[in-house]
Amino acid sequence: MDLKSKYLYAFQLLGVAFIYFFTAKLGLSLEAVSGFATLVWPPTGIALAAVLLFGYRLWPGIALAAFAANIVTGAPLFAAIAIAIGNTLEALVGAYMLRTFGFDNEFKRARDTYLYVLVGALLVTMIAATIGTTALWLQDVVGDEAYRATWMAWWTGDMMGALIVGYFLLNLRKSATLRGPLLAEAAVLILFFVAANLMLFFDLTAINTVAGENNSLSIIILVLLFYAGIRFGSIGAAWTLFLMFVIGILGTVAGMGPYKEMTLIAGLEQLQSGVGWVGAMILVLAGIADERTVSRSEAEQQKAREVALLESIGDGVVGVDDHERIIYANHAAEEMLAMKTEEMIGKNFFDIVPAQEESGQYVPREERLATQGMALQKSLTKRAHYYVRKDKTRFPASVTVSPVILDGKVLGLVNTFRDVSRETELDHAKDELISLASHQLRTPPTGIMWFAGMLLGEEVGKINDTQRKYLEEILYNNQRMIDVVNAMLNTSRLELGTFIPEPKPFNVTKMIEDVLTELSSQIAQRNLKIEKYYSSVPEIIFDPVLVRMVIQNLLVNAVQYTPNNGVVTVTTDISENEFEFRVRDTGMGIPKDAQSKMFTKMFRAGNTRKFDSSGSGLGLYIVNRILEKLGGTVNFESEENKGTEFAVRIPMKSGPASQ
Amino acid sequence: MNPETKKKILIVEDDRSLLLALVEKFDREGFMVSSANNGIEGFSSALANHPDVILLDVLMPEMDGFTMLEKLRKTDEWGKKVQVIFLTNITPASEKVMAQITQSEPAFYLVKSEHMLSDVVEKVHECMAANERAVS
Repeated sequence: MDLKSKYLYAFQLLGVAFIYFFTAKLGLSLEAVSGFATLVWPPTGIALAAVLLFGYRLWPGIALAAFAANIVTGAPLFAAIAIAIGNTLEALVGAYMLRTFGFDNEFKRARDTYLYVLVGALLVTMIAATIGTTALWLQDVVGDEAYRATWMAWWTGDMMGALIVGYFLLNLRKSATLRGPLLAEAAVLILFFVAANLMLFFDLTAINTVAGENNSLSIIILVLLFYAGIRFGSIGAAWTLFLMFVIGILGTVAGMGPYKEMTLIAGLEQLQSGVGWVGAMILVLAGIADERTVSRSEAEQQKAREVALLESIGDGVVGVDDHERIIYANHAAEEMLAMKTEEMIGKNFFDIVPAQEESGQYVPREERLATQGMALQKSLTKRAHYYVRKDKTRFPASVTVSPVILDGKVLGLVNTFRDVSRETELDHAKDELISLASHQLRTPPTGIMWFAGMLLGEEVGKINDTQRKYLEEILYNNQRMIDVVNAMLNTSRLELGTFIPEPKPFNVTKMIEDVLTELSSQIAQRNLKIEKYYSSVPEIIFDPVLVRMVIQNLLVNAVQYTPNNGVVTVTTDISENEFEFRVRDTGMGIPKDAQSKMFTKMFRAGNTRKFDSSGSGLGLYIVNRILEKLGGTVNFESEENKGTEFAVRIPMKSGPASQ
Repeated sequence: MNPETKKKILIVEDDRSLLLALVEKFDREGFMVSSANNGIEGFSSALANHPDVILLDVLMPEMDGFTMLEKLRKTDEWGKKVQVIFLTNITPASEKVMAQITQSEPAFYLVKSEHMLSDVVEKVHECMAANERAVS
């Protein structure tokens, strides 16, 4: 220990010893039972509080002071020593047991109060009472018949010391934390309380009579005690009980108050039991009040943490109740929508956060993600809409909605969104690049096609058969190049994810007819028969560009790989849940060993290469990827030299089919 | 053929080779052909010559095809009604672009690399027929 700590220790020791001795002498002078068991024994409380606050090392001070106080009062040496040991043990064992059970000096929880009362006040005080009384009995200071009375007085005196004085001392530090209005309130309470007690115990009014009989002052005091305990927890209880105890003793010793008709001892006993019972009640109340305060502040802290967490989320978060009203908007949402939370709370979500398609058309409520999420009771994400601010500016938003469900009931929705302007810009840039590339790559082959075409058409002179043959080869190769470029461009766009499906209602029968018309020359060339079985309701809602690509690829394949005079059957089947499109041909089929690889990039089955080496191998890969995007499936059944049937199934988007 | 009864066609295309093919083809088909290399030239040529049909490329320097048509449509009664066929090599990527296109009311939108010249001629004849019907 360094010098400073040594001084501190010495200071504490002396301090405790002095106060202990002083209050002990005071207590002992108050008509003690048998001269030594006093009804008012603050030292127990002082000692216990001191050990709890400053540690076990204060025991020499306690022991010495106890010894000195008793010796000076006339106790025999041995008894004085024993009493000193007993009182010291009381404090040490008390503190030790409390610590073991997790006692908190600040009386934060109800448990701390109960522990203090049971262990500190009721239990360990028996040690001092037993040792002290027995020591005096052994030394014949206390006779057999007086043993019980002495022990009881000793026990209750120590008990009260711990309960009133110790409790008060331990709560001093906590009391210092009171501030502002609360402090003012406490001060007023104490003022009234002291006044009432003075009136009761010093006969300052004519109202009171013998304690316990319709005493309106007692009732007032009781009410104030309750108030103190509930409102201020252990602080309130400590101060009021202590003040009541002190004023009560002073008044009774001065021969005034409700006990003035009795002997001092009887009066003090009455006071002690009165304060004791009331004290126990108030202490329990205070414990409960403190417990509640702690829980509440913990809950508030927890809530503050959660709010801070929500507020710090970079994405916008908006909470919506089951009546479409906004109940929460975090900071990021405020910023992105350029509105304060106060402006948004309570208003209808769809009014505050309208959405637009890229084209500028407003998205109707039924098509909003929030509506769908609530209806389907599941989390959904979408990237295609723009959120519109109050000032009509807009930004592309990536939105996720999650319905909040409790016991199967939808309580509301959490909408998380992100401004994806940057990403959309990049996407648009990529799109532009691809468009430009597609343009540049197609221009030269177009030139070749046109000039070779004019030569072939004998528009500038007759040509012989060989010239015809060669020109046809030029056109053929040229077309292959165009096809590969188209396929690669489509693949790139799919890979880059720049294809954001934009579902629209359209007539799929018409679309198929269009594609067949485009292929009419090849169909005629091979003399193929086309059988059509169309669903009677041709309207479906999907991204038409993507669906067209699927139909085109499958029909081109069917036509291309079917030898002359074959049959191609096209079927559409549209039900409430699903759109099905089937293409069957009587073509060359797909060999068993190639079937598993049909959808991979650049793959072409062996038999096709012999038949027509010009395919790019990308067609089915593209079809597969598109179906992925649409949430559908593609399957085929095939037998070599018999034919193939491809079946595409896409589940219908839920929601009304038409506006 | 009498010059007055010959049908007039304006071809706006910036690629020299493609323009050559188109001009030669339509000349052989009996049209009176005028040509331009970009949107600005095309715009003035259209107003000066009042062709019966305009073949319009999209990606061009100075002024692109979309912008030229928009301008033309806003100019006068003739500009509002004249038949225009977009002849280009870009696939309209998104709905927004398609909306833009259809707003200006072209008669057709053809992707060059998908059509032989004879197809283009056919479409032009269709436009002419529509013109006749409108007039009569």
